[in-house]
Amino acid sequence: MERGRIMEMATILGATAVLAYLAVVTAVNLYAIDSYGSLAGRENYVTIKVVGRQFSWEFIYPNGTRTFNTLTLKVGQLYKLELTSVDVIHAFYIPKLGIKYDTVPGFTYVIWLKVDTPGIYDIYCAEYCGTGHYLMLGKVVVMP
Amino acid sequence: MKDYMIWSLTVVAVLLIWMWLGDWGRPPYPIASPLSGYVFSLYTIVYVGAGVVTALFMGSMIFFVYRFRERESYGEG
Repeated sequence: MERGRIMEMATILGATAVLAYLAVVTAVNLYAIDSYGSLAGRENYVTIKVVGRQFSWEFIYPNGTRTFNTLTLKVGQLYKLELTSVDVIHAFYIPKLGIKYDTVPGFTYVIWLKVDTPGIYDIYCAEYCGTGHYLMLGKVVVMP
Repeated sequence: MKDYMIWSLTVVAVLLIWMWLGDWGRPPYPIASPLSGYVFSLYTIVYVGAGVVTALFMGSMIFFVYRFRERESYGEG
């Protein structure tokens, strides 16, 4: 095979290998993230509803308690967050935990959350939702 | 042979600059939860993968622009 043809094939196969590797690793990790709760299996979890609205985050705990802009969690406890919105599309974003998920009116999306390090983590809205978008800030307080 | 070496070195140099600018692909925050571990490991993998692709293409372009630059003896004029 002539040298040019070898280079051409190497380029195509190399690019294919990189893309295939990224696809496999992404699929495996995304599956683990999306199904973390079911993979965790028998571990008890607590369900918290997260409601986005212009311009605050509302958190509804299993006992009916509602808080605004502050989500209080226990370290090491598994939580199932059910995200929705009552007006426009928002995005629930906690950069330090690597979580960003849209909240869409009429839909409920689930994310699993378990934090092993106590502390305070900032919450942002990552989808422009109106004039008060920049005020839509909150905190996750993880208690030891 | 000399061309291949310079080409390869250019690609490696671009990769090193890319990795240095991105703190060698380390996560932007300490990993505070198992889920963050998955997310940030994807971040590192994608960053390094993008670096390899960028290095190959940008390194090649930089090398070609230099190697086949216009010279007085060349050209249509």
